[in-house]
Amino acid sequence: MPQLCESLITAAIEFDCEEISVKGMESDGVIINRDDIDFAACVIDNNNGNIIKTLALKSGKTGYAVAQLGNTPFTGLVSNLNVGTYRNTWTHEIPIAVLANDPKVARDIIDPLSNGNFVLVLRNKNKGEDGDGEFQIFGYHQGCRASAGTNEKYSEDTEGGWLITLQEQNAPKAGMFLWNTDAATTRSQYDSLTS
Amino acid sequence: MEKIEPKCSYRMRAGFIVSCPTFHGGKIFTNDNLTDEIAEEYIALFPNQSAMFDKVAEKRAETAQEGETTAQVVNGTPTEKKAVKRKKSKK
Repeated sequence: MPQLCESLITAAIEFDCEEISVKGMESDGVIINRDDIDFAACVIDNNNGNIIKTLALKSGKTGYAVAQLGNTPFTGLVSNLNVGTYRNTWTHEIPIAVLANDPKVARDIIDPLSNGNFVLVLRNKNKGEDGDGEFQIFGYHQGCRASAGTNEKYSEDTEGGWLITLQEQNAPKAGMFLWNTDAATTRSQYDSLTS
Repeated sequence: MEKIEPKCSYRMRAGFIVSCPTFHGGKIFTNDNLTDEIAEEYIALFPNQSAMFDKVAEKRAETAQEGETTAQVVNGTPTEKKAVKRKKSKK
């Protein structure tokens, strides 16, 4: 008999008075060219397929820091459910403001963002019970590609800079997280992505 | 561009750190505190993890041989691939 891959809820939906959810994102993250990831060397947690224990890059490759200013960094970041014929998936959207405009920015950032394929590691303000909810990975399964981009010269928000929205479509998981052992270890791994 | 000598002959690939409960009491080692001794000890204990480490020791050996190859720093980031070999002048 073929396997049907049952999706069964296995935890109660409760309100934890000690762990109140906190909205928003921290102002820094890491963006990685998806081709630079060594997927064969990445390690996914055996007990939780939503956890990546090691996000490994190929030899000689590095991630790049993403910094967002303002009180609500990565504002507009959202995940939406797509109802499919046989399976539902998720679309993750990550707006990135680039508050600059010159030939180097256009060549090194905007043009690559416009056409490239990326994986992002961003930091939730909501750390989770053990800290395992802090580092969220977008684009691991399908990659994040530009779905929108604007450069509005009189924008009050970007002040003549750029706003690029990256989108991961048809992601099979609601959320992927970077987590290895404890908060200190995971933080070191996150920092090593740009070392 | 700055010219610096790498402190360690090994450099872990981005995304990798050493953090093992049975290795030095679970102490975390990153490229910031990695030494040749630690890297070689870890690789000896866990040879299947050797792919985590990019070795720049050969380049230091080449430097000793030719006196011309160095690891360069570009924009503040060490880049082994940017090592430049100057051709020997022909006599």
